[in-house]
Amino acid sequence: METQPLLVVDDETLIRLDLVDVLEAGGFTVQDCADGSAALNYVDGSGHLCGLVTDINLGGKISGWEVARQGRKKFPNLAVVYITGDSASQWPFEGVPNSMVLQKPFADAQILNAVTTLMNQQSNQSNTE
Amino acid sequence: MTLAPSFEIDPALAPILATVLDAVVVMTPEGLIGGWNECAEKIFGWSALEARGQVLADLIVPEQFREAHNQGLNRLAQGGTPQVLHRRIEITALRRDGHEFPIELSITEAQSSSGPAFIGFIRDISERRDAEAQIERQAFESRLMFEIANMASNSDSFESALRKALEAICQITGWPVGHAFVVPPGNPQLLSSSGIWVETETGLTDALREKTIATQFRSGVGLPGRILATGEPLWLTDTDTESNFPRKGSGFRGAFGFPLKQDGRVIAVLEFFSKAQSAPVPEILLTVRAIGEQVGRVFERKRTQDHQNLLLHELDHRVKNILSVVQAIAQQTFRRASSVEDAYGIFRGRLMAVAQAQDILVSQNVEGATLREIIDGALEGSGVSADRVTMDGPEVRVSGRNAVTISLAIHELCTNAFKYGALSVDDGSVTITWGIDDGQAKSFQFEWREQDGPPVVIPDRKGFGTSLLERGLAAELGGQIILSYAPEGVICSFTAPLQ
Repeated sequence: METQPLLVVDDETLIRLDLVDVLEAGGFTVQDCADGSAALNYVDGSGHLCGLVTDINLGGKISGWEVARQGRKKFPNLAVVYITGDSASQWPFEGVPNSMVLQKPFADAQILNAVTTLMNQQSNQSNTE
Repeated sequence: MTLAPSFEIDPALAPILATVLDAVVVMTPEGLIGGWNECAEKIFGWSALEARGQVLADLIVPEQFREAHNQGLNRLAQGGTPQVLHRRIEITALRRDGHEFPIELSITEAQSSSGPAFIGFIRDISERRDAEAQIERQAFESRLMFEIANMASNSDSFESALRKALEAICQITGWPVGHAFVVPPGNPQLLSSSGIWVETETGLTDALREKTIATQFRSGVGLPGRILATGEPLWLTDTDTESNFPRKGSGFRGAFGFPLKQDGRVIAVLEFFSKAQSAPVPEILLTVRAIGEQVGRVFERKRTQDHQNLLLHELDHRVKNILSVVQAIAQQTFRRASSVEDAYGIFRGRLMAVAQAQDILVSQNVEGATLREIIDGALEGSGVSADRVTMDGPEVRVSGRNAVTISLAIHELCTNAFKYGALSVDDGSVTITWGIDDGQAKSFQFEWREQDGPPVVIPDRKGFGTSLLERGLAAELGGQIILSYAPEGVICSFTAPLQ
């Protein structure tokens, strides 16, 4: 089975570490970034990316919305899950299509479920195309 | 020179006519003045001597009514019925100096030995008219003020209150364009556009907006700057001929504006534009001045409310965030722990480290806590006595976000040292040093070095502490962490480039 690389972006270190743990335990290969520009750099230099789990307000100028847009541009089948404490209301305007938003705090199962559901959808889509 | 026609008055009446408060003017059927009492002298400015025999129309009837007056006389001459007799009418009359003023007039017809005559009783009603106008203006003003205050307090934000005020004033004055500047808190000498424009048709203000954005309106600059400087309304009849109007050529020539004030302090400037030149309307100026003085505090209250809402929102955000952090720590701790009792102790220690950092942050000023304070707090919270640790480093400020992670990282190093490292034996100690390296690339260096502990054993799996240091802190601070398990003691060194 091929590895499914994921990128986790959250400026809150403890939450980021926890996400990495949960997703690694779920069988994914996880890379993490603490801010938007590091995330954009990573996307830029990456050859293969299946999923993105990103916080929205990343402290700096670049938001999670922007990271997801750039990620989708490069990887059209990218599964995108936004996690946020307070920006969920902007999701309909700012979020990329076929994405999900999880309100903080959430349980481990929720994030794993969200990522796998989206990945299955994306791979079904690309199979039928 | 026409001979003064005489109109005989009962001598008994003469003293009465001299003292009545109304002007009494006698006119012959030919339209000449035949009688002129003292009061007439006073309100028209002509003496009886001057007035007698003059054509009445020339002397006291304003130009625009003369034609009608003469037609009336002609009708009379042809035996027609007079139309203005025996009732009171309100009209205007002409004073000697050319000033036209409002009067109440009643005309009666009388017969005397010398033939018929018309007697006019005239009352100057300028004062009454002024009073009426003032009452009307006050009613208008209080209605407008009530509407604006009402709208402001019912608006859900300062911005929407401003917009509604602009709309109300545009509607009432019939001016097509309104715009609001706000005085940014903390900079009372500067105006910045609120971005709120009211226009009767879209695109009308494109050029004006562009010029507005391109101009910095300090106190004294342009229409709004002058209003800010004086705290008074200002009216520009023609902006094209104004020397202090930087936004010339944007399609509007008439302009006025006024300040919204709170305790005498200008908090916003509202401005209005018309395409054509426009002479000042004193009523509007008086009204907007009153609005600015009275309604400002409603707007200020709105602004304070907005600010409080913002703080509440921020607080909500922070609380949610700290709950997520606590949840993350709990998950990390309980997932890895061998037993629940074990996990509980570790969890409490970690929670303390986070709380400690929060404490220090809250008690500090806005610049943030120093690294030494954070380390001191974390050591104390972990139960490390001061004589086991040597610290050396310059003053370095730490931002709020980083403080929590650093505190937790130090806590993890302490916990590990207590369990397996230098702090697990009586003689062991820790040296913490940090500093700025002024080499080619400026960098921040930090080192935790344990000595005189038991021989170091390399752990077979990475714990939360290691993960926090290597993955978390390094990424957060944009640096590199090296954890070395040298036999003589654990060394944790951290390097981050400084811009």
